[in-house]
Parts: sequence; structure tokens; C-alpha cells
Amino acid sequence: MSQREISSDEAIDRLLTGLRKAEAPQGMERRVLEAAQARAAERNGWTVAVLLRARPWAVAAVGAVILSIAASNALHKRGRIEVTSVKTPIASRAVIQAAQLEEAPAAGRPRRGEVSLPRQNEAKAEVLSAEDALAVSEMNAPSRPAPPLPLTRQEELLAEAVHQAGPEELSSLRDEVRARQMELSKAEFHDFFEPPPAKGNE
Amino acid sequence: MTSVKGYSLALPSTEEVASEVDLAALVETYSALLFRVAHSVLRSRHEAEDVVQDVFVRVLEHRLSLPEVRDLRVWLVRIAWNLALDRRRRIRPDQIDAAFAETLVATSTPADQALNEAQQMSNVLRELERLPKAERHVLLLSAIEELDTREMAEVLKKSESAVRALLFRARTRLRERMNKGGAR
Repeated sequence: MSQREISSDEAIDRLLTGLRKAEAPQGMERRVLEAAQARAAERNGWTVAVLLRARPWAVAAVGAVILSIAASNALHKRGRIEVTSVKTPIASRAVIQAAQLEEAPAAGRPRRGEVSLPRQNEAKAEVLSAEDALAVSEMNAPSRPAPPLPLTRQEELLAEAVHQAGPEELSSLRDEVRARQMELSKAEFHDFFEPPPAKGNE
Repeated sequence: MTSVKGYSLALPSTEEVASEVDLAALVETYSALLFRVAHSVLRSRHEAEDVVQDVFVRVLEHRLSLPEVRDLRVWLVRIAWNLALDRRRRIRPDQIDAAFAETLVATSTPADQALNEAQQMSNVLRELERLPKAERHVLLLSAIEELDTREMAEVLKKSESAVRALLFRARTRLRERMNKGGAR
């Protein structure tokens, strides 16, 4: 039995007719209405409430990250050293500990680092660099007089130029020393110019 | 169309309620037309329904600017058309076209004859996809009898005379290619 070949025009018309008579699935209007409203609500109402219903873990994670960033910024502003990492180099840790030791008596309250240290291995411990720790320690250090420093060569030359006299001359500036020297010089003068005693008196 | 005009009656104070009512009217009025528009491109009922959903999502997103739309019917058709073309690029059209070609064969046809005709319809669809884009688009839109030449021209952003010329050339080219062996 030979199969009937359909002509080109007939095939085209059948195709176009098939496209024209395509019927929407049963219940499409209801599904479209519900889906469109739900999707529009999702797009327009990306609120925390919707997120909490859909992905509570994501909201919690975002909140934790925001809180940690805010806490980190606040501590940076106060110049506190909250947490040090276990991997901090020894030199850096020494500087940090020195800063904490200086900070504690000045603050008059327990160091906050002691509270947060147990948490240092938990999550995202913030590591301050050695430069930051040094700057913080210098900022919190109490004021003290400058330490005595040896004179430089130029300062020694200047001092010599000002003070040409020896120790005796310098000592004449003191009254008691000057008076004693005057008495001594008078005695020497008197002894030198005093006339010898007459022989007849002996 | 009265329900379309009613869409512009959205009251600012009850915007949410009004949009729901209007959306229901819009879906009832246009969903079938939009489904056929999308189906002409996608040839899949499931994909076409998804496109219709996307169209009305966009309607809700732009509901405040809807009163400015001059021809809501053409605007919706154009959205559906563009969404369908975009979705067509992301699916595997060969398998979908083969399934659609089988639906074009009468159910009363004997099995061997039905198989042969389904193969011929698949060839038609393949040759249709090989047409130049402008001609293919005009031919597909012409299958939707609700759209006249003016509306097709607005959807495709061409002049009416250009649409008529493209439609003539599309049918002629498709017929010639099938006569050369495309329909075999």
C-alpha cells in the first residue's frame, strides 16, 4: 500500500493551522494568575519576612556577618585589641601583650581582651598587625618625662664655649665659697706683707 | 476590551486590590492569545504557559505605567513574543518540534501513514527554522488569526507593507525548499 505524500502547501497550511488551533492547557488561567502574583510578590517584596519564611538560615548568616563587621569597626575606633590569632608572630604578640598590660591599670577595669580571648579560635579572629599594636600602645601609654640623653658632640662644644672658666671660677659664684676664698687670700696677703717682729721685743 | 480599559481605573488607595482584580481580567482576556503567540515560537504547551506567566509578572511589575500603554493588546503580545524568542534559545527545539509534529497528524490515520506524515511535518518545521529570521517571524505570527497585519507590524516593529512582503517571501521560499526535498 503506497503512502500518500502531502504537498508542500498542504504541509505548510497544516502546520499553520496546528499553531493557530493550539489550545491552552486546562486551568492555565488560574495557574498563571496564582504564579504571577506569587512571583511578583517575590520580586517586589524581598523583605526580611519573606526571606525568613523562605531561607531563615540565609537571614541568620547575613545578620551574623553584619554584626561582626559592626563590632569590628567599633573596636577599631576605640583602639582596642580584642582578639589575637594563634598564628600571630611571637614579636607581634609581645607588642600586643605589652599594650594590654599598659592599658589595664590606666583603664581601671578588667581588660576586655581577657573576655574575648577564649573565643579567638572560633570564628574570624581579627589579627592586628605589629604596627597597629605599637601605635595603640603608644597612644594609651601614660605621659612621662623624657629620659636623660647624653649630649651630642655639638652640644658638648657649645657647653665648653659658654663655660670657659675652671671649677674655681665657677665656685666663686657661691657666697660661702667666695667668702672663704677671700679670707684665705687676705691671710696670705697679711702673712706676706706683715713686717717682721722687732728684735727688741724678744 | 472593556476589562482592559478597566485596568486603568486602578485607585491609588486600593492599588493592591485593584491590581488583583485587573490582573484576573487581563489573564482571562489575553491568556489564550498570549499562549498561542508563545506556542507558535516554542511549540511546547508547558513552555508557552511559563511564558504567559512571565508576561503577567511583568504586567504586575509595570502596573503603574500601564495607563501610558497605547495598545495594551499589542504590548502584551510583544512581551510574550520576545519572552518566547528568548526562551527558545535556551531549550532544545529539535525534540520539542518532533513531538509537536506528531500532534499535527490526524489520530484516525493508520500508523505507518501517521509516521510518514509526522516525518513530513518535522521537515516542514526544520525548513521553517532555516528561513531568514524576519520571514520566519512573520510567518509564525500570521498563524495567529487574532492578529491582523497592523498588529503584526507593531509587534515586529516593521511597516505593514514590509510585513506583507515578508509573509509572501516566507511562504514562497518555504514551498520551494520543501519541493526541493525538504518535505521528503
